[in-house]
Amino acid sequence: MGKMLVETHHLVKDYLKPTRLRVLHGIDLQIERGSFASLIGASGSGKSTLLHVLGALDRPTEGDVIFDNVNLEDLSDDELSDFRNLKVGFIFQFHYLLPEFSVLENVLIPDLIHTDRESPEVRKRATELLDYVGVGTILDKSAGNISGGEQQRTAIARALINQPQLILADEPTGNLDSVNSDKVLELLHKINRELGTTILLVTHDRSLADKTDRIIELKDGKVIGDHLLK
Amino acid sequence: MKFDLKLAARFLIAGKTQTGLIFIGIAVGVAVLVFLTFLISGLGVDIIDRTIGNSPHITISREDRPLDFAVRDFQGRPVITEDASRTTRETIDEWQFIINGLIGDERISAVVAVADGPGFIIRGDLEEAIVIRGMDLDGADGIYDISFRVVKGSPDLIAGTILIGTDLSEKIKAGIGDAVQIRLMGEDPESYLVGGIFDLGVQTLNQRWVLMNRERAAYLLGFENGVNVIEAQVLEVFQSQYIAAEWKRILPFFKISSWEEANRQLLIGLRSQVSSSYTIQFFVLLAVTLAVSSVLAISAIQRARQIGILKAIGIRTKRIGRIFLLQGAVLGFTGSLFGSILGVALLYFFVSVSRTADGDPIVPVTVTVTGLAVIVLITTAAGTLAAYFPARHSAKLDPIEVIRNG
Repeated sequence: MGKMLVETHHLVKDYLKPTRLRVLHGIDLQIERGSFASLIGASGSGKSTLLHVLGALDRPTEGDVIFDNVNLEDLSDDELSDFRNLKVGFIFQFHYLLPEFSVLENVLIPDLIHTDRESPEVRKRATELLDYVGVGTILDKSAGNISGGEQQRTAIARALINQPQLILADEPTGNLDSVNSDKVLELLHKINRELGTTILLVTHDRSLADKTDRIIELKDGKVIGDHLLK
Repeated sequence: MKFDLKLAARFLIAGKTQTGLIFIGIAVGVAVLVFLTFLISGLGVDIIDRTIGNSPHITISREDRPLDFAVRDFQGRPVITEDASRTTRETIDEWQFIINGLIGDERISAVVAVADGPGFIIRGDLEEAIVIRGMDLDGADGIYDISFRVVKGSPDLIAGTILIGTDLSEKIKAGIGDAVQIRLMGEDPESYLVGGIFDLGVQTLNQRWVLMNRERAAYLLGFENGVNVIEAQVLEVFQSQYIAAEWKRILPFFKISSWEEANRQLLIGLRSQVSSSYTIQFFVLLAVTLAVSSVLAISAIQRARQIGILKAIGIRTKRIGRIFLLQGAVLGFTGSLFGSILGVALLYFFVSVSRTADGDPIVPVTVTVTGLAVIVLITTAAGTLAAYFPARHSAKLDPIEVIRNG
């Protein structure tokens, strides 16, 4: 097992519509296994696009993403879906829970996508995860009827259910008040510390980034700074 | 698949009003489909039963030969008749062999050998032209249901007695036990007793037919070998043409005709009825399909966010399509199941309120489980098919678009 979990080589991403626009200009990056890094930059700097490419939500126009020694370029669409399901956990600014399901069911969804059957072990793990993120008392509530903070914590538990190697968090506190923001950030630290999960946090908030181990600064689709804090 | 079905069901339950409306739409459509299908089919069966239910579907006789005719005086009027004195009646020498062959054909339900020819019936001063029909009661019952249709007297065709129709009975004023005379053209009359009076439900037959023992009729008509016509009924009436053609290959020197050849107009009418039924079924199905498709298309737009996030967390593209196809299938199946029950209930209600004075249903309707299963199957398939385009649209959805736009 190598030290690096993710490596990018000369990553380029162009958007073709409405007009051709280069968003990422040859990014070379390495993310260490078990680290907690943040990706900062102004709006339009390309940080979310980089996150999407790293999480196999989007394919790069040029360059490679090597994840745990696997080049994502070599994977088919179905294999990329499986990759997103098993290797990566996503946390977005908006929680993106399915309101048709309960809190517990939402957490179980990534496992159900993979296994197609509900197992008591996974159910137990989901319950423990919801306890771990602090929403263990609202398991059966509809995901559409809980507070924003509870929704984001549920989304974090969902991201963790398949025990991913990497968590990609795109402005996870962007939609929360300061109290809930602090709680979510604290929770991400706890996950990184206790579970050893690698975390890449996208934020435009410098104060949040300062609490991570490493800050990667992006401007106009280029890395303009890379600082190790711890 | 289990999870896909669960997702499909949750999406349907979440959009209760939409799902409820489309469910009712499918159910009403299928109810109409069931009602019309079985009503039209019952009507068709009833028409067939009334028109050809008690008549031969296949008739076997000798090939036509030019006949000799003569102009004769009949009750002061000139009539053209077959000249019996100069015409050799073509009988079927091998009739028993043919009958045995027909009985062995499992597509044929009843067979009767008939000694058939023209004659006159005389009672006192009254004389009427008749058709002499000599046959065995068992065979006659198989096709004409004679025993059931004898309204007075006995149906037994014993030597020396005859059965006449209700109209002929009135015309010649002959009742049960009355003596009548029967003669062929140019021959001496013979005496018979009226043993029974029948009502075949067709005025021409009730006026003209005189039924008697086959041997007696053969003797009277001068048939050495017994019969000149073999009549048969088949189980599937619309197959009679093909069965007749097959028997024509076996018996090339015989004239073999089916009821379909002799009743072209009736056949056209029946086929038009079936076609109209299919047309109605097609348009009802089309309406159901379009309704399912449009509702699922709206659902696909409404669920774009959920689809996007499911794709982001790793569901494969084809499974997204499958979720929508399952929604279509679930809607089609449950809607058509409920619609079938509704349709059958409507049908029985209709049958119970539309009855003749005798209390019999105006249209006898038979609902078959197979028929209902076919309707449910076709509607489920239509629902699934209807979901194809929304499914394809959803499967193509880019999760990044959803994530970007919130």
